[in-house]
Amino acid sequence: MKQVLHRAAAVYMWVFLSLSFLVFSLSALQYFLFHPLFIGNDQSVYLAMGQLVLDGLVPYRDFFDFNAPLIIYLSALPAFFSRFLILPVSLVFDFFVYLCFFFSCSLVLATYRQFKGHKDDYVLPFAIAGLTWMQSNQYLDLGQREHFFFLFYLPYLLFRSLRLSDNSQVRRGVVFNMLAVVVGFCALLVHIKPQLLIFFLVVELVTCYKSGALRKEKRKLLLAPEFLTFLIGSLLYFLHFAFYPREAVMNLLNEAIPIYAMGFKWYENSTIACLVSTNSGINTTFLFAASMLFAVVLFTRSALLLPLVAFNGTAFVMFAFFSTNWTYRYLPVQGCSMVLLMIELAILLRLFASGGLPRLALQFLGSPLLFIYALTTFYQYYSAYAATFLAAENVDLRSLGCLGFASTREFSPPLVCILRHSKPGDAILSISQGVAPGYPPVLLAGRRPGSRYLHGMHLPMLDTCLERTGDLKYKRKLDQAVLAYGEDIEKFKPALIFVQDGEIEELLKQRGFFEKFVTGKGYVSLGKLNFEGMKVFKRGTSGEVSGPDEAKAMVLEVLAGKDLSKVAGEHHVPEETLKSWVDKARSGIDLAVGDSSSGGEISLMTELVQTRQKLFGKILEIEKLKQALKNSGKQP
Amino acid sequence: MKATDLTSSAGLKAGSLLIGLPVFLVFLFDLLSSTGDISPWPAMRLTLFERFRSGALPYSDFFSFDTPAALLLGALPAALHHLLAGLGFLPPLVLVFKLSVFLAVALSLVASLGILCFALETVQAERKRELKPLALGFTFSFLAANYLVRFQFGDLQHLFCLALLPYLFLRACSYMGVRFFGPLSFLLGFLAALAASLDLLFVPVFVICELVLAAVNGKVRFDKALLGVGLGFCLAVASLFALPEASRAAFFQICLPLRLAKLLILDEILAFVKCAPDLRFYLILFGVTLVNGFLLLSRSRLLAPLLSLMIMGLLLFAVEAEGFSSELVVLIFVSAFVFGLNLFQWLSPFIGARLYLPGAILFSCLASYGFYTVHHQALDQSLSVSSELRRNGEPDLGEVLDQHSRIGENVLVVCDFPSAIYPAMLYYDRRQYGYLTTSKPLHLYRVLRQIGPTNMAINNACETIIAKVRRDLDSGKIALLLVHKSPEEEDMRCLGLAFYLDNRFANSGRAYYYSRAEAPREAIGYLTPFHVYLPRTQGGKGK
Repeated sequence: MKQVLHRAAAVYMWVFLSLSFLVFSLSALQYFLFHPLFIGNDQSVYLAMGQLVLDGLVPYRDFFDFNAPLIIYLSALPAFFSRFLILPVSLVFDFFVYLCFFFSCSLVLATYRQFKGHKDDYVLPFAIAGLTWMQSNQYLDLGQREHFFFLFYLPYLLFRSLRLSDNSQVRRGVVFNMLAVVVGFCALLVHIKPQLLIFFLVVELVTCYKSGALRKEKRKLLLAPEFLTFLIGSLLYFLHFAFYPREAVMNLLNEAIPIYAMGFKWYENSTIACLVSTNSGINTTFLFAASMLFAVVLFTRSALLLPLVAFNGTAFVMFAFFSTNWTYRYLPVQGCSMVLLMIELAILLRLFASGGLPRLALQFLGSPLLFIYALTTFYQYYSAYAATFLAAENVDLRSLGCLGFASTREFSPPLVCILRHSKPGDAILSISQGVAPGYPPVLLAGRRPGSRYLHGMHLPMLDTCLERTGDLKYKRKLDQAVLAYGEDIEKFKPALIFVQDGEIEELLKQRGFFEKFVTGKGYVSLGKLNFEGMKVFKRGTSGEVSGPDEAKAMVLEVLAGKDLSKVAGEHHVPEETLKSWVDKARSGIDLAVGDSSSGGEISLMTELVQTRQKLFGKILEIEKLKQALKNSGKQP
Repeated sequence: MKATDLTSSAGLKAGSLLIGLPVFLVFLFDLLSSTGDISPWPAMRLTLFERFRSGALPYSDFFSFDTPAALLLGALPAALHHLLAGLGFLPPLVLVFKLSVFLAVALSLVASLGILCFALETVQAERKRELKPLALGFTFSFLAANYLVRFQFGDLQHLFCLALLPYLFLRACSYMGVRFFGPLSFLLGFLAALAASLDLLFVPVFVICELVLAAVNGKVRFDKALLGVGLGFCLAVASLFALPEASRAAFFQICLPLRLAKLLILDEILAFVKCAPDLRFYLILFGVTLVNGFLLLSRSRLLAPLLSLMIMGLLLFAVEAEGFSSELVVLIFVSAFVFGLNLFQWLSPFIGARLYLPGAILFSCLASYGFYTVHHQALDQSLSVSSELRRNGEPDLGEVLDQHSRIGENVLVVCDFPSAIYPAMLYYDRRQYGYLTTSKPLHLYRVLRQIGPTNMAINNACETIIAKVRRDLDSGKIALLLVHKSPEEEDMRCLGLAFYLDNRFANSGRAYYYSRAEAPREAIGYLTPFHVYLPRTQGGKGK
């Protein structure tokens, strides 16, 4: 009877915990359902590269990037699925990442089941909670390389640490070994970026040292199935480069890696900015400090703490080393800190509520309360997203060839411009200092890349290399890169060319890019996009390009009396954007025909300074008069 | 018994001192040979001594983010210098300051090493194994850590570390069951609490370290040190209420609200590289030490409070959000110290070996040489930086200070980064005039207003400051006004000070604080010039 009651209590708790987990996970997923076109910049460009791989193109030969190819292969999966689904590719990608998350959680759960009886088994459900916490914080960084890495490496880390610290018994069995192979296979994701291998080496070394696996009597544990799988998989991964065309390998080794290593300084931020320049950065820094402080105190309580601390410390070092305040670079620290904190919570609960009344209270009250909290969170998210969605103008996504609706806010100006001035299947060329603003719009619009360079990051990086080293080979590479753009324009005939002003425009201008390859090849300027300094050129003679700049035309329509929302809807432009253009135009007209000579804040400031000077002059005159009166003996 | 027999207590002490000797000698040589350089904030506190002497009241007559304890302690070497001058000795002020701090370093070292060695004599054999490598590497690690923060020597965070370390060792050993001489415990507790009251943020750091100690040991242990702590904090609080009425009011109404509002406010200008010092090397050292420290934590629990102090050091840097290395001193100091200790922990199996001591001394010699070389390269670079970066022949800030003002004259430098103002004011013997010891409050007010609506306390505090600055600019007592163009001059113009800037002063050209934003010549913001303003004569032109 007692056993039955125990079992019933366990089932009762697990049901609520599982439901809470699901609800928490779905809370954040709703965001993507309400924002189907939302996708991070880097993720979108890798999806585009994934599409190119599916079309039979070879990375580094047919298109260029700085990263190792694993992320491109991985992105080819959602790109492949999206070919069969009538959903926006961004949404398919979001579902894919969530699938990976659920898979990762399942692996941790399976590890928990397999290590039942281990003294640290009780922390694993809390590790899942930590993972869920991390996942629910990912919006812009959902599906970033570091995100995939963390999702897939964590099960390996936990499994490996438990195995190495398991003194009581050597576990065997088909399921156990299969799980070991699967987690070992998942750990291969450390190759998604070359530097991530350092995480693996540090954590492996620390875990092996601590568990005594480096000693002779336990050395056979080192070559357990999970590690062997990782080793063999890594060998195969490196071997696969042998099947690459020579040109592609040369481009990777001689172009991508050296330029990245030397030119990345262009993207660096100051140390303090890395830690606290964004809200996410501040939170992560605090989470890191808190998780490490608790780890100091609870250090001896669990064998899992040291590997996680080693991971977190390494993640922090890597973040500091690269010194960029991009939030995804801080993601491993964020994720590991969250998992660590949850595990520390588990240890604290074990310490202070392991028996008697507190345990009962936790079991019978804690789990349903958690579920209620999860539901409340879900509802809060839902009502906020739904309200925003309903308040905004929505566009039928059939214009993008998919099912569903999205708010006009998700249509960025480049996307609107692409939809307006090109047709599906056209090539679009975007040259900017980052992946954005060309991507995600080119991907979302279902257009092809208009060059082997999907972004223009290599240009400022090459310029930085040249500046740092003074080596003229970088100047030659820069010249060649611009020529390559020219060749690609000839070859792909992009319908639109986006060029970012500032450094990119300068670099291109210096090399006669516009005369040789843009205006000289029949492109006409559509003007500035009012977005990230992008200038747009359209293929065709001036006669083919209809009328003035689209934005101007829209503003004129509104000023002529047409309904603003109607015009915004017709042109797929967010109402707020159009309203701000109209407001600016109105104030421009006011200034032009108003009383003020030059108008605006600047003229007011000038007037103020002039008045002040006049006033000061008058004060001086008064002082002089007073002095003169005083000298003449009269009372002022 | 030979003194170098590392198994005995005396041998251990001698061994530790021998290993630390090369760093000590380099440290001392460096201190006595380069008597000129001093970090900015201590330089500011030294210059403020003149303001105290002239009867100015802190907070009401000049602005400071410091607590009264920090202001008084900072001015103490200047007072000592004044006293020595009265007795006929005239050593350079900076030397007096450096020797005072060096004395604090020596006392902290003696106290900490003494505590460790005393504990070694009294604890059980198992604990001895834990403490021995720490004691052996202590002098080297401690002095190396001090030398690593050489450019922030005597800064508040440095002084805090010096006072806190012996206290933490004392408390950690006390948890091991070691009983210390009561008055010594009391004194160390008292000094640690006083050091913690040097800055508001040090108090939570102190408390967390104490909590970590208790949590690691699973109990709270009361001893005489805690009594000292209690008295130290009481004295610090009392010092606030002992301030003159005007000072106290200004502290609570102006300085404290702004000090709190400053936390976690990152100026967007700092986001770009070269706009704030690149301190990533220290963060890497921190990360490596953290992992290493955790790996060795099971060998010695004494590391627990040090690791927590290190982590709190990171938070201090993040919370201050200014990006200068002076906010990173706790992290640098403790990371280097723990890293050194860890090194000796790893080498502990070889303690009995014949070559252990010579090897350790050789290592210490090489490391000291390395530290010395790196620091002197940085110093040389900071001296030559202006000639390398000089733009269109425009002068360095120091040259302008020298050309356009005379010794003892009032100069107002409006600038956010302290290194542009302070050592220079001290070297050229000029008086920083007026309320603004740093222009941070003006910029902070502007940033706060941009972020969102500011509360009444902040508005009142800033309006008072602006009124005081207006009065200063209007006083006619400023011989030279140097204003950093961006963002400080923009701040002044936005906050209604443009009239005084344009009409009381004449723009007389530009000057640069040539810097690569590396210690000891740190700067923030783009390399924008300073505008040189000279007071207008009646005719309306500069003098």
